Amino acid sequence: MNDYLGIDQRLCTGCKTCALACSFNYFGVFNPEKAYIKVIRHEEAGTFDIVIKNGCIPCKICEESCPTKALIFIQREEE
Amino acid sequence: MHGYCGKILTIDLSNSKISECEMISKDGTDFLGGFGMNTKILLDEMEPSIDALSEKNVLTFGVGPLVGTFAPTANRTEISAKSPLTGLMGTSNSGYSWGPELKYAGYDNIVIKGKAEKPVYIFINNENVRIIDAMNLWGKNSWETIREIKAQLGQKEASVACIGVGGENLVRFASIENGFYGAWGRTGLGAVMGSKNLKAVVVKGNRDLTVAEPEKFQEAVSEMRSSITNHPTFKPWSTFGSMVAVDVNYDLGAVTGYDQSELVGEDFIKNLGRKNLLKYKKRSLACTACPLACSPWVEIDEGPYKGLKIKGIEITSTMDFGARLGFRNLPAIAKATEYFQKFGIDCSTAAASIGFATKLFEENIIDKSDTEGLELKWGDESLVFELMRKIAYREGFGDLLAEGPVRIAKKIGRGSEEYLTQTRGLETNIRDPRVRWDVWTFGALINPRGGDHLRVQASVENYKTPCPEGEYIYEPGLPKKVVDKVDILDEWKEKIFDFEKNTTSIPYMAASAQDHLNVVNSLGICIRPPVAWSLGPKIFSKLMSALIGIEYSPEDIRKAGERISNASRLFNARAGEKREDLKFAPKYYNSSVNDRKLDKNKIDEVVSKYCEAREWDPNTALPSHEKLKSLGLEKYANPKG
Repeated sequence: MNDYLGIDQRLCTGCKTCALACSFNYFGVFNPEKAYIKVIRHEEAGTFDIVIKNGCIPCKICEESCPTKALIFIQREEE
Repeated sequence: MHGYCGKILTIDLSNSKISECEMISKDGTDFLGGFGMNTKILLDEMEPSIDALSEKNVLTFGVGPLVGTFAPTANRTEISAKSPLTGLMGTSNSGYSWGPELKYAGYDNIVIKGKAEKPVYIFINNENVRIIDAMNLWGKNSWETIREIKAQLGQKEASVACIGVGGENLVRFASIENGFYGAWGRTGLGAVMGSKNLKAVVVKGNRDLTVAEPEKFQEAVSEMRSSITNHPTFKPWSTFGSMVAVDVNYDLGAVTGYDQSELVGEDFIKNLGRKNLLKYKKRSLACTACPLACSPWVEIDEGPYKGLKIKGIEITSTMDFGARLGFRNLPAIAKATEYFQKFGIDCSTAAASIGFATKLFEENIIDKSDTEGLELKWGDESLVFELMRKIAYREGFGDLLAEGPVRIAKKIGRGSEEYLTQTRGLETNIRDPRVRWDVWTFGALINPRGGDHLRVQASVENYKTPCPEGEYIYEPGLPKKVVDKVDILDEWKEKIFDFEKNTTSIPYMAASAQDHLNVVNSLGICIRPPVAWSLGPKIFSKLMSALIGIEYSPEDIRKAGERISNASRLFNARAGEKREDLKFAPKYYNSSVNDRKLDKNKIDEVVSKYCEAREWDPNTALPSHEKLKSLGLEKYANPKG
C-alpha cells in the first residue's frame, strides 16, 4: 500500500498547522523547514501550493491537524 | 530556554551597531512577551517625554512565547514606540507570518534605536543580521517595496514589515505594513520608522523552537483549540470574518455616522451588512496556526472597481469609510483598502482626518479657501481616494490632514475642537459612547494607546438589555450559567458580577478585561472573540507551564496582565498624561445624538471606581509605591509632579 495525499485547494486556508504538527510530531520541535509537508504561500495572489517532501511515511498527523479538512490521505490499492 | 528564544536583538541605526543580549528569564515570567515585554523595554530604554519623531524614540517588535508553535492563532507581533499621533504609548498588533518567522530566526524582541543617515532596511536571517541600503526603495509604495525586497534578497518566503510613502513623509498616522495585506495600523508607528530612515524589517529563519513538556503542551493546545472552535462566535467569524460585528453593533444601536453626528440608517446595514461580503468573498485565508481563517479573499467583478482582487474587507474599514465617511458599497471599501495598504496609512485616522474636515466644511467652519478649492462632501469616493493620496504625499491640503484631527483643530481654531471625535488623541470608533455605554466604550479612557476600542473588551456582555440612561457604573447583569463558562478567576468574578442585583460592574470588568487582553497580546495570540473570549488564566497557565517548564498558576497569569496595565499607565504618566486627561472628546459631553450625551461628572466617578479596582490613587490614577512593589515594578517610580 502506498497512500497519497489529496489536497482540496478550495478548503486550504494556508494556515500551516499541518507543517507545524509534522515537525512537532517527528522532531519534537516547531520548525516548518523540517516538516515533510510544506505550504508555500503566494501571498499577493492569495493562493498556496502544498508539497510533500521525500521522507514522508506518511503518519497522517497533517491530515488530523488540518482545521478545514483540506488534507485527505487516499489509500492506493497495491496492483 | 523553552518557548522563548531567549535573545533580544538591538540595532542602533545611528552607528550601525548590532548587538544581542540574553533575555532574563524573570522578565519572561513577569511580562510574558509581546506587548508586555515591549512595555518593559520602552520603560527601560527611553524617556517617554521625548519627541516621538526624534532619534531618541525606541521602536520595539515583540513576539510572545506561544508564537511559532501550533497553539491556535499564535502568530501575533506587537510593535511599540512613543506615538507621534497621541504622545502616549504607541502600540499595534498584527498577525500572519512575521512573528513566527522572527522566532524561527532566534529572537523574541527587536529593539531599534537611533536614526540611519540615509534610507536602509534590516534583514534578519537567523543570526545573520544586515543593514542594507534602501535608497532605491524610498518613494515606493508598500506593495512595490515587498516585491523588490524579496527579489533583491532572493527570499520569496521572507516576511516583510515595511512602510509606504506615508511613513516616509512622517504622516502622523502612518502604518507599518505587514506583508501585502496586513498592518500595524494604529498610532503612527510607520512615521517612527520613517523618522529613523528605516524602510523595512525583513525576517527569515529556520531554527528550532523547543517545548519543555511536549505531551502536556499537546494536551493544553487541544483544550485551547476545543475552547475556540466550540465558542458560539466561531462559526459566524469563520464565515463573515470581522464583518459579522458590523451587524452586531448596528443592532445594538451603537453606530453613528458622518463623523459621529447621527445614528446610521437602514441604508448602512442594507448595503454594508455582513451578508453583502459573501457576494465578493471567494475564499477564507488564515494567519499561521489559525483555525478561524477570518480574512476574506475578495474579488470585485462588477462596477467601477471591477478587477480588484484583495485580502480583507473588515469591520474597521467599513466603519471608517462606510459609517464615518458615508460610502455605501463594499467594493468602494475594498478599493479604499488597497489605497491605505499601498500608501501605508492607518485607515481609521485617515478616515477620521477626512471626516473631521468634511464635518467642518459642512458646518461652514472651513471653506474652499482652506481646501485648495475642493468641495468636501459625504460619500464622495473619488474625492476620498484623492485626499488619501494627498495625505500620503503631504501634498497641499493633504499636508494638514496628515497631522491628524487634533492638530488640524489646533491649526484651524474657529471652535473646530468642539467637533473632534478624538479621545486621548485617538478616534473612538465603531461604538459611539453616547448611544452605547458599556465596558467597551468606557475602555477608551483607560486603553494604553488612547481612545480606541481594541484593548478593553469584556469576554462576555449583555447584548439584550442596554445600560439605563444615567447609569454609568453598572451594566445590566448576566445569568450565572453564562458567567460560569467564562475563564475569569473567582476572586474577580465576585468583584465584577452581582447576581442578586443582576449587575456587572463596568470599572471592575474593564480592569479585568484590560489585564486579560494584555495577556493575549503578550502571549502572541489573537484578540478575535472566538479566541480571546473563550480563553483565560486557567488555560494560559497550563499552556505556559508546559511550554516553558516553569510552573505558572492562573493567578501568575492574571497578575502579569495587571503588571502590564500598571507599567503602561506609568509610561503614559511619564509622557505627561494626567488624571484629568482621562476624559472623552468635548463633543460627547456637549453634543447629543439620539437625545443622548455623556455626563462628565458621572464618567469621572467611573474613572475613580476604576482606580479603586486597580488600587490606584483616584486623584492621580497612579499606583502607590506598595502597589508597584507588589507587582515588582518599584524601580519604575511614579513620575514627579
